[in-house]
Amino acid sequence: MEKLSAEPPTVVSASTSKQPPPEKPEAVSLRTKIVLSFWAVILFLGLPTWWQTTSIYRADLPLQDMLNWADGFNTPTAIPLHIWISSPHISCSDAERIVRDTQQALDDLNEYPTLHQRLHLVNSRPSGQADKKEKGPLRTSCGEDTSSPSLGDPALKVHLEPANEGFAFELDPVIAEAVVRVPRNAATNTSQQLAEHLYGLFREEQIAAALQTVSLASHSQHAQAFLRSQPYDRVTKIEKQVNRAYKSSPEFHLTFSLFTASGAPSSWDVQDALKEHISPLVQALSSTSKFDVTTQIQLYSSYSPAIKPIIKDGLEGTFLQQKDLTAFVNAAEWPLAPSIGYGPTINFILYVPAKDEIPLRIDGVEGTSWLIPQWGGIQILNPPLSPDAIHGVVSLPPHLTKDLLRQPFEAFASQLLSVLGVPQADQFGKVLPLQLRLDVYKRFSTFTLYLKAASSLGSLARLAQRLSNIPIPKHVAELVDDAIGNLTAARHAFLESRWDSALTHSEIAYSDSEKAFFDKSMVGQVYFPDEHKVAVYLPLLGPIGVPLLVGLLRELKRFATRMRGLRK
Amino acid sequence: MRLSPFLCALLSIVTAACAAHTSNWAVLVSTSRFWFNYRHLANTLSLYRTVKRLGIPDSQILLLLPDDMACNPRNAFSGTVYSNADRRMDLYGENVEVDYRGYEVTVENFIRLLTDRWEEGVPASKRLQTDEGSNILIYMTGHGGSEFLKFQDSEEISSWDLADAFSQMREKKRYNEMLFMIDTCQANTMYRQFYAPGIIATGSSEEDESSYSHHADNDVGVAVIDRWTYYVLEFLETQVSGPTSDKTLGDLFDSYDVDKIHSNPGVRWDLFPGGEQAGRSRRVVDFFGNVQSVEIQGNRSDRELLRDDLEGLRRLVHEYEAFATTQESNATEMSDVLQRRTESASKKGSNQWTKETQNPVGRMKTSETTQWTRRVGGATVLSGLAALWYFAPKLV
Repeated sequence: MEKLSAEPPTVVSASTSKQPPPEKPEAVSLRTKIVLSFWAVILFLGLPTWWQTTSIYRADLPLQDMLNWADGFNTPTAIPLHIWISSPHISCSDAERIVRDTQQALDDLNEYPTLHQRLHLVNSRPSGQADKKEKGPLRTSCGEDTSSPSLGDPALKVHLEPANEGFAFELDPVIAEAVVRVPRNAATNTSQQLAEHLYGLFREEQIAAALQTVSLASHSQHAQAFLRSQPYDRVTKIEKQVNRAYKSSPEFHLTFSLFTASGAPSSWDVQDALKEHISPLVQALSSTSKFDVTTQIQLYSSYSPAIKPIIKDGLEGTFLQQKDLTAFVNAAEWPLAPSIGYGPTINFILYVPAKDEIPLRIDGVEGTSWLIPQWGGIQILNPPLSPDAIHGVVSLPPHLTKDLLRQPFEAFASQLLSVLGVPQADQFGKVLPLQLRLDVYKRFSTFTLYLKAASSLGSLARLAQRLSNIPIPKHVAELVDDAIGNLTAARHAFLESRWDSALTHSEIAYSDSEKAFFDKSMVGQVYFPDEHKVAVYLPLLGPIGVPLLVGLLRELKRFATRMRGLRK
Repeated sequence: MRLSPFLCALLSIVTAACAAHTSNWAVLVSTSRFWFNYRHLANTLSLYRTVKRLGIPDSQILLLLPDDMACNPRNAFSGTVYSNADRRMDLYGENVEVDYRGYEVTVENFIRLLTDRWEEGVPASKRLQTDEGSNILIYMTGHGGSEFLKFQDSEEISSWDLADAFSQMREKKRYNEMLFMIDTCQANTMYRQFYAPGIIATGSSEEDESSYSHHADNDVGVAVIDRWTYYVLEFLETQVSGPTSDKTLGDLFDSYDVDKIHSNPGVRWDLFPGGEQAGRSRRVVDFFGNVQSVEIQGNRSDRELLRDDLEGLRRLVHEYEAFATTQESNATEMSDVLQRRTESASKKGSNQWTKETQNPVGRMKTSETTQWTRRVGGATVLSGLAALWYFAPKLV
């Protein structure tokens, strides 16, 4: 039936259907205009709009510069460590000779240029009044003036004293000063000995700096060579010390917690203990980072239930096994993450066991305190039991006095220094003054922050190169510029050995580079596979695109035939 | 195995590649809502209980639950979630810290969480504050397909997104080693695109394969746990006795039994330095527990030294304070002079003070005016267009 009905009309139409009237020329030109104007709108309005709205804003970053910083090409090759030498009682020429020879010996001992000791003969007497008062025979002022701006901060002040006996190198117990007794004769030997002492004093610091360079900068042949030249056990020991330390940060929180297994003791003289043992340290460290101190008490909070202390025959009290110490912290019930502010929290826990467990000790060792690297310290306190006044029952004291807290807080103070990464007092047979160790910590912190800032910039640069669909807002570029500026300033400060200014700039550079990397608007667009793109665009472009394209093709065809007709 | 720490130390001198493992973090994600997906939340909560038991503190566990099954009106046992029909262990319990719940569980938030790109003021408890010494366990469960995992019925995360996020974490040294676990249909495709080193990945099922639930609780009315997770948990709960267990990842992956799981679980080793051999020897608690090394301080000489130090320090502080007070008195003299000098202008000064206090408000106003100019501009353009539309035909 279809066939039948379909056949005749085609025949009819072929023979008899009317042709449409020829198009008027103005209709043709109107249609051309319509097609062209549609295309004009698409090309000049639609396309730029589409481009504008779908493109991702990527601010220009100085990528190569950032990578250079991260690779360590811009790290100063030589960071001098200034040592001031004063010699009020030695003739000027002698002093100058000693300094020159010692410097020579130092350069021979050690070629690693980071934190390399540089000796300066300084005029120790404050100018003016002191000069007039003293009227000794050797009052010639030699050496540089201490207030001159070309001198950086001294890492150590050395006083040369003439002596009759042999050479002696005596460090002050607290501040970074040393007295060197120089025998009146045999001076060349003196220089060599002095050089060895100085080298030994700052050797650990150099090793730590080299380790940090190796781990954070990719261009570190010098540091690697230096480390290879050092004894293996020394390097591993310092590496352990560095790993134990919290990462350098411009801000820290210290939380001191008292956890008791039973209801007593329920109070402690923590303010006094803090004032006595912790505040001086915090004050001394405050030039490096900011410290906040908080305290808390929680009763009826025993250690982690996974731990089973053991009882030994013939010994009173209970014992913790050493392998259990890692699990001691009852993370579920001890509120240890106050999440105040930005800096990391260092925890110090004083634990008082229940009455029937006292004394609670660690199996096999004498002490009852231990340190958890990058976390803090724990101390078990076994307070003396005293009979209750009313019932006569032996019980725990309700209050921890200052005297009871002395020993634990001394432990906490030493743990604080270890957890921060301040070098130990007694290291490789030397006793270092605290001031010197704090300075070492400050310099190490500065250097680490500087390297970390540079490494963050490198991470950001590589990220920007690899992920092409991640937006980079303008303020990230500004932060990057700022960080680079501060890094440059820090580098100048390093070269001049001005550690305070280097620390300030490194801290700013560090926080800026971190902010730049962790900028919240830099969360990449969710990945679109190509088929998803097709699925989005096809329904939109299909119905519009087909008539437009066909229209354009027809017009072009007509134009071509007309051109051919004209040529004929 | 005995040699490995020594080797590590030796290598570290040259490259410092073996960063010490110093902390553990866990990110546990369920991605599906609604009552019939009860089992996904139960999976995640079971893992939460396990890592907590093995010692990861709550502050280092990020738990993402898009729905609240314990308080769902269809829950016959309100306030509880069980992962087994015997209902012996209430997973919700007394002490559960959910960090992201409900509509906070989105792809964007998850990627922000991994890359730590947050606006200021997001609390530390919601952030993954890891560093180059952190081992991270990431567990995800939900409904997925080939190379994607659905979040909350409305969006999906793809394998590429995860791979890019992990590479950014690697770039910023945000992890030492990572164990990525996923229980979903076609789970093994989710880790196909990863390229950042240091990751061990394991999934419950091959491409074009479903991942099945284990059993249903007839009283709860829905399936309560997925098969793969069930058997992983069975291993963790029966074999890994505590934070000091010596079981290795090799033991865990060898415990997979295809007959029981009903799908083919997979493991990817090639991104891990040292490959399968090194990966298999990693202890389970390196990822599921909180491994901390401990230094017992027995000797007292240190402390005595420090006592001397503190004495000296106190002396220093006193000297410094004395110095500071003299400085301060000088400064106050100076300020007195200054004050006298500025006293005549004190009235002006007070005016300035009030102005300064108003300053922030003023600044607000300037931004408001720019907004107003924008609005006026917009209104002008719109009315111009309307006029054109109205008048143009009349003109022609």
